[in-house]
Amino acid sequence: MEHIATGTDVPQSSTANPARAQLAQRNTGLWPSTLMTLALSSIAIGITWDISWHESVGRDTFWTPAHMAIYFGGVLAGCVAGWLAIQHTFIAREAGRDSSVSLFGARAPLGAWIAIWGALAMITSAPFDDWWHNAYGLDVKIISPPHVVLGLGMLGISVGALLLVLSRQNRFPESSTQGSGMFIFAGGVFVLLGSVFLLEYIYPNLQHGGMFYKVCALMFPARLIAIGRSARVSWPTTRIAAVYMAMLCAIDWILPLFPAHPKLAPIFNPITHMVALPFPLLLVFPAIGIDLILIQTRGASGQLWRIIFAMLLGTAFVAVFLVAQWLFSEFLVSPHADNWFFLSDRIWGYNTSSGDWHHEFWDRTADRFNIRSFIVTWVLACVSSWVGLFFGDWMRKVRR
Amino acid sequence: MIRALVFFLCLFALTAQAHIGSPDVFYDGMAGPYPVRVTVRMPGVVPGRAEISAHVQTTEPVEVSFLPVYSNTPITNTPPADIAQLVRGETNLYAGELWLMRFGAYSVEVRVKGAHGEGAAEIPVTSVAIRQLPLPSLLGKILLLMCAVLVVGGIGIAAAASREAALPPGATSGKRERWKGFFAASAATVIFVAALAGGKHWWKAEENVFRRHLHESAWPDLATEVRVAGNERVLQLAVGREFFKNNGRDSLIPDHGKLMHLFLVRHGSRDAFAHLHPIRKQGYNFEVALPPLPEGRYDVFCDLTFEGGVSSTATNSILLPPVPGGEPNPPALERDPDDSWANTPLTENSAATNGAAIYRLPGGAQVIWQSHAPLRINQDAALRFSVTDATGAPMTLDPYMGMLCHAAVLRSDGAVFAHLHPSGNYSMAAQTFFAGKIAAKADAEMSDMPGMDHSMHHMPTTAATSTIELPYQFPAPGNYRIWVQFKTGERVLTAVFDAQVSQ
Repeated sequence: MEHIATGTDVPQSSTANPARAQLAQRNTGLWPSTLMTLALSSIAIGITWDISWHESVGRDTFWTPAHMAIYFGGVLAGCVAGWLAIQHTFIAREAGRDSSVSLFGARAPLGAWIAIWGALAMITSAPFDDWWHNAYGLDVKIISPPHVVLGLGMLGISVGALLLVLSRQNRFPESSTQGSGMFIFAGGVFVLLGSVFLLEYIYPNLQHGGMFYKVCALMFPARLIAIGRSARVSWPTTRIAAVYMAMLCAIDWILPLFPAHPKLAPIFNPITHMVALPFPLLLVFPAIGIDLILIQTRGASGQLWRIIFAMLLGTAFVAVFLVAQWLFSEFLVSPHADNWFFLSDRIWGYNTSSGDWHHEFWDRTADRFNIRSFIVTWVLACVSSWVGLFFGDWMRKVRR
Repeated sequence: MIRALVFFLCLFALTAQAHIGSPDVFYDGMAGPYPVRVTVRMPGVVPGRAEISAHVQTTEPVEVSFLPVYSNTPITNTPPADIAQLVRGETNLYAGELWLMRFGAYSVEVRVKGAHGEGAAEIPVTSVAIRQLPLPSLLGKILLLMCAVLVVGGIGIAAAASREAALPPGATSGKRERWKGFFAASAATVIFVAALAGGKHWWKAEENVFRRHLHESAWPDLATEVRVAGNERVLQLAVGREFFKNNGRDSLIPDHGKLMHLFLVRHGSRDAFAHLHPIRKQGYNFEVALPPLPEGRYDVFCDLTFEGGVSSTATNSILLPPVPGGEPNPPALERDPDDSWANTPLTENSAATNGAAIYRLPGGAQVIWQSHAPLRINQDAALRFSVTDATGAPMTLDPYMGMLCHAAVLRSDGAVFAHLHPSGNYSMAAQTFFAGKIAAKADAEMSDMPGMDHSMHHMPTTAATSTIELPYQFPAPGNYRIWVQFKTGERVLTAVFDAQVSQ
């Protein structure tokens, strides 16, 4: 081990002022963190609700409740971040300035800047998406260029919220877990947003194909490890995965309680209630493995160790997730999962024809999971783990 | 799942337009007890919103609703109908919109309910991407500006994050932190440049996919060859040799009793015209004996309707050799009894009187295009014609392939072609398909609702008349030629008119 960290690194070239540090600590920013977490949750609920709306009702307007939830989240995050920028630039005392970073002469917490960037990206996506619909037709898929801009905006807001909450946690003494609960919750929502972005690749019927494991290996280790590495509570990654699972389960179980009828033709599946998203992924199992490794390597740092740990974490993620999800998906595509709990018969929208294909794995020839896709999945998981460790180590030090 | 849907959509890429450059659909007929005139403005993309307006010929208050019926789903799987709104300032003009979500054939059901009962008109439309919307200059500039702000802001945030975010309160960034910030900004720049390049590549790929399903002009491909058999010229046609390699092969269904309606127009002068009905030899191969048209290059337009209600127009051109000489032989091909043709030199036979254009036919009969206001795009084309004999007395028109009139409209550059009837410009075969599809449901509803009328509203009127009207609106400005065909006394008369349409 090259180096064992004994606390937060203080730059050699920097000078710390204990009195100002205490002032900054008092300025813990509970309300911005809370409001940002609320905004993040609103966006996550709104986006899942909106997908369900498109699968259930089809036709929407600017004013659908799901859109309102997304707008509320975006506007709230933008306002909070904007206010923080004004406060730290123009009216904050020195202590306030000490919890901020400088961008082109203006000051705000890093999370606020990233949230503002996210809000701008969301605003940019609106006319782009509108033109895209008019030029190429309404999207029938989630991943389109304007939606990616929107997704980047949401990512910006979620990362901004996460960093704002994180910086608050990090301003408390390292022995304290104060602020960690909100950080873990925000982390769970962050993982949920990642899973929503991958929705069209993670249907249970695709979970015996190569693409499913590749996209999951790319998306989830980075998120889980970065947040888990920087959290101060025990079993952080497991908790984050549990928050993700609990939140998505709650959404999934609530949505189908509401009657809904398609308002667009053709209707291949005359549904009568809101459609759910697929049952959450069993991220909680690889998260346990990640936590076990993170506990053993908590103090380790250095480039070489980071690569070794990344390979270890990537291997653990793939091994546990592959076994758990492979077996679980066999259950999910079976008729035994056609119930309110596992939802397998409640995820098919009005524009999806019925048939045996609901209970079959898809793309088994074109997207076969073989040794090649396994190796690619493993490499992606290792890279994603390295990214998670890199940002996780940096996030442990973020105070502004 | 959505990928599967996209794949399914790709299978449905057998998309169509029943005409060329004239996507809007017009209907003139009955909706139960109420005469209605409907315009369906088709969206240029799929999915897209069709704008519908219905002019109900009544002074009583009625409720008008619009419903999309898709060809490939059970008739019971229809969404709730949309109630049309009365256009402000109008007494009987109703408007609304319908989403057409998929490629293929839909029927727009226009239902009218009033004191005299309730009824519906089925208007078949073909949902297809026909145009690509350019990026408006202002929007492009705004997006570029926002992109620049996001890129510069993102680079600045990356630098600030690396430089200051981990500093404890009170600490200031030193040289090491500034270098960290510089490296982070450099890395962010590389990432943004890569993302923008990747985004551009992706956008182009999406556009290519869109363009593969785009039918800006006629489809499917049409191969033509003229062979001489004895003293006959025979036109051989092969439909969709290339198109059907990559798309489903739906069967053709007869429209007005014919699998194919073929129009020949002499290129350039447009002074020779034929409306023929080739005979299928095998699969999508057809043959027709050509009438005694003068030699020269001809534009070919083939109207087709596929099972499921999708209709299209295929085009090509042929070089017609001179009429072969020699002794008459037994005909190589039986000519369809409804085939008709005419040499129509406009300048010799047409004249304008009191704003009405008159076309004088051999034998003295006249076709009169009644006077009308100057023609503009997307407004009523005022195609009202009457037929008189040499003495000026009205001539009684006979049904001709189920209609009292057939007409063809062609813009001088060939970019607009439409086949019109008094009931509208939609495919009758497609309407019959949908009428059959909804018959069971309609019968069931009739038993519950005695006031409803589900008579065959699309059937043309056969009452004796010498005047007909064709519902149509020109889609684009330009010089048009219109061929109007009537049948009277076992003869098919073809009149020709020119029209100047302005913006």
